[in-house]
Amino acid sequence: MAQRFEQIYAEHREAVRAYVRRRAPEAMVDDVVSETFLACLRKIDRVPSEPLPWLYGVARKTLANERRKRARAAQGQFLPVFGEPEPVNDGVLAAAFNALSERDREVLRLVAWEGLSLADAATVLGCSGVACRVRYHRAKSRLASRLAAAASFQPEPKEVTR
Amino acid sequence: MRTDVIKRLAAANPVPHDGPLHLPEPVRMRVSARPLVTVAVAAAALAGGGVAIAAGVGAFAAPLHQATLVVSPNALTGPDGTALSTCGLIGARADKVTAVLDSRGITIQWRFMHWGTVTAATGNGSPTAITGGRSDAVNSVPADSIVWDIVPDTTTPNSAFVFAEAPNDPTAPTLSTVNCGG
Repeated sequence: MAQRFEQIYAEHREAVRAYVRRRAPEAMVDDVVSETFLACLRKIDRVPSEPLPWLYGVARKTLANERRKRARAAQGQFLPVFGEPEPVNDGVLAAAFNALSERDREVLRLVAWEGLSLADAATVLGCSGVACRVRYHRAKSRLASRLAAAASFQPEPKEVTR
Repeated sequence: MRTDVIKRLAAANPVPHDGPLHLPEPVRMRVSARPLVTVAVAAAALAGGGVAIAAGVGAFAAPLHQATLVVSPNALTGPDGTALSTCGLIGARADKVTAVLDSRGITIQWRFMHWGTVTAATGNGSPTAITGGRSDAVNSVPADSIVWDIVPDTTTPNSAFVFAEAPNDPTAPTLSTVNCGG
């Protein structure tokens, strides 16, 4: 059992770390990765033979818990949702992507950034393969629509008082 | 077009993927004449509403509007065991923060912030907050950078993550230290 955990940790630690880094600030990464593998150790007898999508799913829930903790800590005041890295080197894409719902963003990230199949993405998201496919195609359509609209619109710059 | 969107998103990965990506192939559908006619009519109708659409697009393409960042203070502990509140350091220049933390024997791990370009409602009665953005691990930051948060590194003794931003970053939120009682 311990041997299996060690093997999973050695094989997938970097992938899980990269998954978290794509969704959270650096200061949170180590904690979330540690909690993810702690859950893996506790539930080692329930970890599927292909553990990576399962690990991503645990990391996803751990991140969500962390965000809820931050929301509680803010005690009803403004809470910056600053922790989510956005697409790099492409401002138009970043704006369009960030305007999508978290649900849409996550399925697109799993495919485009983690390189998962839709079946594996469904495992991460905890939904059926069909539901995941529908979610993916709708999210992709929404992103394409926003990009097409953004291409013909240039907002006026507006300063923010600091 | 839609597959290009996924390729474009893959190319913008903030933590590039190791090895080649196998993106799902698009499902090819037979195109009949009727949907094409529908699309043409819809496009003509939308052309007349271009102004309204552009205004709507501005909701996600515009820069930040009045986003405020309320920083919760942390206590840092140095080798001498005394606690240092971060309240007096939030909003200060990086060179000042460096001097204070160095004098306390606290090692700095710099994080330079690139704020997101989008705001969204957060609930809690807050009008806006920032979505997106990223912080990069760097060895140093310009002396005139502004420190907007300091977080103790719980895994390394006498060490803290110090988050800084460019002094005139137009996308940076307004800093508030109201949680410090000030």
